[in-house]
Amino acid sequence: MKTTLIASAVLAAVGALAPGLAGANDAMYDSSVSTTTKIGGSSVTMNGTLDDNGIFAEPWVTQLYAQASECLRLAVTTTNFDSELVVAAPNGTVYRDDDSGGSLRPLVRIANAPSTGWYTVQVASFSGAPTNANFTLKYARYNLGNPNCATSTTPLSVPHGVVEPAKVAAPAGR
Amino acid sequence: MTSRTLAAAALAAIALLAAQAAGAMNLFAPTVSNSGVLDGGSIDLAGTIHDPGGNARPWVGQLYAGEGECLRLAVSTSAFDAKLTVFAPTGAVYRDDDGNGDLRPLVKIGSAPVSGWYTVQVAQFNGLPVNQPFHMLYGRYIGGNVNCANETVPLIVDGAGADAKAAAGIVDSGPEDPAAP
Repeated sequence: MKTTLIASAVLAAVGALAPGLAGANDAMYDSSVSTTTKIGGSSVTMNGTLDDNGIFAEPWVTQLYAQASECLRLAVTTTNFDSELVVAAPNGTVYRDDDSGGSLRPLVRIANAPSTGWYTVQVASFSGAPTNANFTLKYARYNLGNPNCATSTTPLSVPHGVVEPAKVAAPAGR
Repeated sequence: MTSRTLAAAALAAIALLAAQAAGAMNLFAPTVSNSGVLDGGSIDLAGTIHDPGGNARPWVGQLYAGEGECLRLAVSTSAFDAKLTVFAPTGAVYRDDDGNGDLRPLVKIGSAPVSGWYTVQVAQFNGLPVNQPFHMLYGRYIGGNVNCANETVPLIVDGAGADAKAAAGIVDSGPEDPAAP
């Protein structure tokens, strides 16, 4: 009986902990790769909140899945603040947008996703100021060449005059 | 005995859950060091990238820095060829591949643009799935500290995709559309 009680308490503790941790380790997955030509069609809608304390900016961060060579479209569709999207592919390619969705709403279109895996997505105020507001982010995967990725977002690059060191061949065994 | 075993298993399960989630949690160095030693006063974070099934899933965390501070992030040991990508809350992006030598990345933000949480991604340099541990040294230093000498230059929007703000040398902090709601 005592053993059963301990086991129950333990499972309850684990169960209580798991949901709390889930929010800090979100990864969301759109299971379909749509061929729709409707702009924003077949998107997964996510509602998020920036809840800063007025002193420190804490962007909303998640990881969203796409496969190499797909069109990945991320659009902030409603917002009560001037938001900005930053997206990093697993290979370090970074896409950033501020107002391309119109009305101060960011829109990132990755026409040809460089990696298969989880893309790190940050939503924040464009100025980095602490914010307390809600937003809606639409996430969708489409086939290569889909009009949802027409006018693709240009990845960020190293400034002119700054040399990014060439990759050195990895030593044996790495 | 059975109770002890169960309790131990439970604690292990809780610890495992915490460890799995730690990669995306907020981490905070409470001190701002004035050390003249490279990586002196830093916090050693141990992480793991666990990519099953052919999908790359970078390690992501949010690390704190105050405005004007030097923020230094150095992958110090690595069993794989890592790359660091760091987003400021302003959207400024810093990226490095091999700046710490021996295929280890190093990002040095000489003057953090705002006070807040910086999103940090550690991944295989070419975006391939890996299953490996790593260590990253996280340090906050006073502005001008030697730990941020030769700071990492933020990435820019270039060419046809450049927007007016970037072309003016402003990282998304210029005036916005006044007609918008």
